[in-house]
Amino acid sequence: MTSPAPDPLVVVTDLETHFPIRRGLLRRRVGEVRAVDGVSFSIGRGQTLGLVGESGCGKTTVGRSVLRLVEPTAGTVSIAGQDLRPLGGAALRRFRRRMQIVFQDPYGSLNPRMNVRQILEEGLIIHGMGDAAGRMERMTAALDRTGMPAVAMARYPHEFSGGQRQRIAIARALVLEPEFLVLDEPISALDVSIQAQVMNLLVDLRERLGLTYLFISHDLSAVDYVADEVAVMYLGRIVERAPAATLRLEPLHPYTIALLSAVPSVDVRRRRRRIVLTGDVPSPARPPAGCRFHTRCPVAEAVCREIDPPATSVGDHLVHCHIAARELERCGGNAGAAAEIMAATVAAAAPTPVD
Amino acid sequence: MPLLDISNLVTAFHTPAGRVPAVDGVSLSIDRGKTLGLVGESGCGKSVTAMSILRLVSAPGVIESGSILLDGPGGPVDLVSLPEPQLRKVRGGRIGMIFQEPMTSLNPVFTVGDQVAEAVLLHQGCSREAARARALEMLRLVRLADPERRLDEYPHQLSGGMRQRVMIAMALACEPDLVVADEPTTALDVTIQAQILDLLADLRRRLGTAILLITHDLGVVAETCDEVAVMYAGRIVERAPAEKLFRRPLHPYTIGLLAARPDPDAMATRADGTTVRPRLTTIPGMVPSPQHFPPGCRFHPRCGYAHGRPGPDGPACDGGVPELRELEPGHFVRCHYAGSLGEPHAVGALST
Amino acid sequence: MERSHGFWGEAWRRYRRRPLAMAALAFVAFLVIVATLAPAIAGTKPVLCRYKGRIYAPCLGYFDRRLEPAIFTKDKFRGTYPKNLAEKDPASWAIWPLFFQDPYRSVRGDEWPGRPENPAMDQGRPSWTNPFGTDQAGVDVLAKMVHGTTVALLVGFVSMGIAGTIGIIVGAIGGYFGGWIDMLASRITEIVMCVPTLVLILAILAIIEKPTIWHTMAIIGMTGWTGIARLTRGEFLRLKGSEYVTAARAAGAGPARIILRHILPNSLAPILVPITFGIASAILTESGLSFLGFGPPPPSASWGSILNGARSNLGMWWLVLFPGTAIFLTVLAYNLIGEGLQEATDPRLREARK
Repeated sequence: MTSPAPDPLVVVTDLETHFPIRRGLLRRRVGEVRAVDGVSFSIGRGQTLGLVGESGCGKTTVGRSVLRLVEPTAGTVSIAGQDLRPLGGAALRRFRRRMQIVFQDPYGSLNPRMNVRQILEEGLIIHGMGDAAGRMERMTAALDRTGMPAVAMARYPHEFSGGQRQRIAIARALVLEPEFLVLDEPISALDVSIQAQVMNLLVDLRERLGLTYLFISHDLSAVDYVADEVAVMYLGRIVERAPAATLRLEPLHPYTIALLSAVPSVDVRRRRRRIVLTGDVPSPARPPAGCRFHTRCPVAEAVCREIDPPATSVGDHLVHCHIAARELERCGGNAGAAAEIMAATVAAAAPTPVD
Repeated sequence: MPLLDISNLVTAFHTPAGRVPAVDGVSLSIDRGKTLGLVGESGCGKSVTAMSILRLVSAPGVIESGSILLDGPGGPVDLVSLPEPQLRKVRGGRIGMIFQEPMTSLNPVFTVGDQVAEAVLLHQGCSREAARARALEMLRLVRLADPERRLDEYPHQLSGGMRQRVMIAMALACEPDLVVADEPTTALDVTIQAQILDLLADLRRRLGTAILLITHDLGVVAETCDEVAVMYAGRIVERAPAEKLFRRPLHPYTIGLLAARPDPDAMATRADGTTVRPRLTTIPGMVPSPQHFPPGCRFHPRCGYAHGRPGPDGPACDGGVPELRELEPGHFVRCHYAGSLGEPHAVGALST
Repeated sequence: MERSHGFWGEAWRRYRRRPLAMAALAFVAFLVIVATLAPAIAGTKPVLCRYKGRIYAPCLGYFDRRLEPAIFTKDKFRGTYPKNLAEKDPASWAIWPLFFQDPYRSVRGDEWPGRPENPAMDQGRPSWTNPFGTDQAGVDVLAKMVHGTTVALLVGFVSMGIAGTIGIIVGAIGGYFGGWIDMLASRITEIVMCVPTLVLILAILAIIEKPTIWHTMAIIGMTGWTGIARLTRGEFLRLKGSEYVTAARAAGAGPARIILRHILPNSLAPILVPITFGIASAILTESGLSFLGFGPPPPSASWGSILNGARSNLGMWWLVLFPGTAIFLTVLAYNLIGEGLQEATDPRLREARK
């Protein structure tokens, strides 16, 4: 299913994470939220996979399930050849050094009662990395890499701005010298002028340290800039996956097409016709049958309501859509031509926007 | 005269740490039926400006000076000095308001229908039935799916996008002349944001309502506004018709903001499949907090064009406060050197 | 660059800005000083004395009878020092408490040179020798109150210490581990919540042969932790899902480290507030019990038991006014401290300051 990336560091296969819905006095299980429902991907060493989607699509749960910060219901995750599933307790905690995470909210992700030194040092102490002097050296180096002065160590999180806090959070992850970083909306909470600083920092760090990223965001243009490959999620599933430029220029899935068109742009030349999807995302507790996007898809047909579309791939471009699969076949596997037809079909079928 | 004319508005917060001028001499005007976008980063004073218009700034905030003239059939009234009872008629009557968080702005214990009807009843003397009918009509107007059913539902039963539609319905219920929308789509997903922006544009055309759209998202402004005002550190630094501003921004801050966004056209794919990513242009440093606004031009510590000492064509940037000058017809800039910025230098080189 | 403050440093800075809360804190500090120095403030036993060539501190007997040097019992002092000291060892000297009045017995005439006998019954209205008056047995009210400060403070600290410990442990375990453990902890909390504290205390005091103030404190503590447990549980539930706790888990931290380093310090401030209010209510409970006559037997004095003396004779207004005011002020002080803490540690106010 997964097209193997060269030397994959992270391999995720058929990942499912369901959360039980409990009701009543006895907390009986009355259903489940299928937050992640069959997600597969792999990330090559030193590569970045961007994961985009709207709130509730399960992208954050994917990131946390991969790191086993929430327990996946099914599927396998292996990092650097190590299958995470059998790891328990102490072994898993030891392995955590090699995989780190940076969160969205730089205000919520740093313990307000600890100063920066304590925040950075905690992981080093847990993993027994270096003596006091050695730890200090590592911490200074990590702060320096993220552009923070060493004097910051004596200070508390509330004394820093959002951008600086995010640098501290990145330093906390880096100090453990991980190979793999999950970046969960790392720039969404920051001001526009600060977002660019942090994106530059992330790209620099990856190049200098050879890091591998899973970059989760709802911001298509940020994902497009940072990631090598982009996967689009909708209701717990990946609906389309392709190299960043391919996805931007030749999207095949109607959802991707709509998503790209909906991003407001300042560039007059770039402005395309906005495809406005009707309705809201259905609840992941009751995902629709067939293709999960069919309730909002402008080009859905009878088959979409009944059969869950399998993956169709052209080279490294993968899409789950009956219509796109048909068009691809009709175009003899020419993804560019098929993308053009898809764009035109979706635009024609979507309700006419007012301007 | 324009529908709303704000001049030299100063709103300050009096905290134990001292006076914090969140809005420091803002002048703006909105014509009937037009959309003005007010953009800026967090803490620049854009929301306080919006709250000042309806005098909803909460203590310890005080409107210290300036005027906010709202034109009407009986001539313009100054909202800054209008007595409270008349002001209440303006709030929700002639000026509607839409907030960022539709969940917290709707009362969780009343049905959607009750809340929209309430907005009608407050300003138009009519029967409950008429108000309810009007509420239904409003929900239809904002294209809420299945409006008859929604009328009797509670806010928590609706999705974020639907709640924002209800907020818009309430804001428009009394056919206001102006709607102040404070980050109306920030809490929403891109596809839902597109729906709401579309709806606002459509309603404006059909009802002729002027809109003051407050946002941090330049893209949203570019796609919806006729005119744009950029705020930085409590002041307007640039104001122009949207087309002009985005085609040729003149203030270094606006230039920096627009350049900080990734440009897909500048990215290329190497033969080996790796991507060439040109570094993003950044605005160094951080947004100053209102307690510590720098002297002179407030942007100068982060500006790549700033002059350390008086040059041949202007004063030092850390000295005199630049005026908002009309550089081109309709295009105002608060920068001594706008129009002749020259080449940018490293920030920090200016340390006189 | 201004100095960096941790959370408690910041909280203290904000607390200091509130004059009423500071005054309340000063009042409690004053009570602590009075309680520790009580035997040196009011008493009939010397703070220090030299007797038959050795130095003694008989005043310690007020804390515990066993601390009173045996030689004075052997020499049949019977608690009357000034006369006996002078008669039995002319070479002796003594440093006396500031105020020569005993909290447990009436001072007889001429026990102190030139001092008349304490008036008893309803004659003991405030005077120069007895500023707060005397009770029916002729015991000085001021001395009784000075020594009763210890009880007032202990009741608060000990009972809320017990309640706080139980409450935090139960709440933390339930909130952190969740599932059936949480269910069990919550049900236990609810059961204890249904126990009427006052009735339980009265019942237990009736059963126990020699009830002391410690029994009362233990019962108040063991029934008063439910609110704290609920609050702690809520805080733990909230903080368990916070990103910095997830970050600590991602760094490889185990449950003990997460609870002690990440969750507990952040939940302490909101828990401290009801503990402070709890101290105030424990003091009220104890006073109430003493007023009803279930107070600590001598040699413990309690403000509430002074009030008890006025029950049979309402004309003795001084038995109501002075201890009543002391109870009122102490309870008020703890409430003001609690309120001050709340304001100083409220995260919303913290953010608003920025």
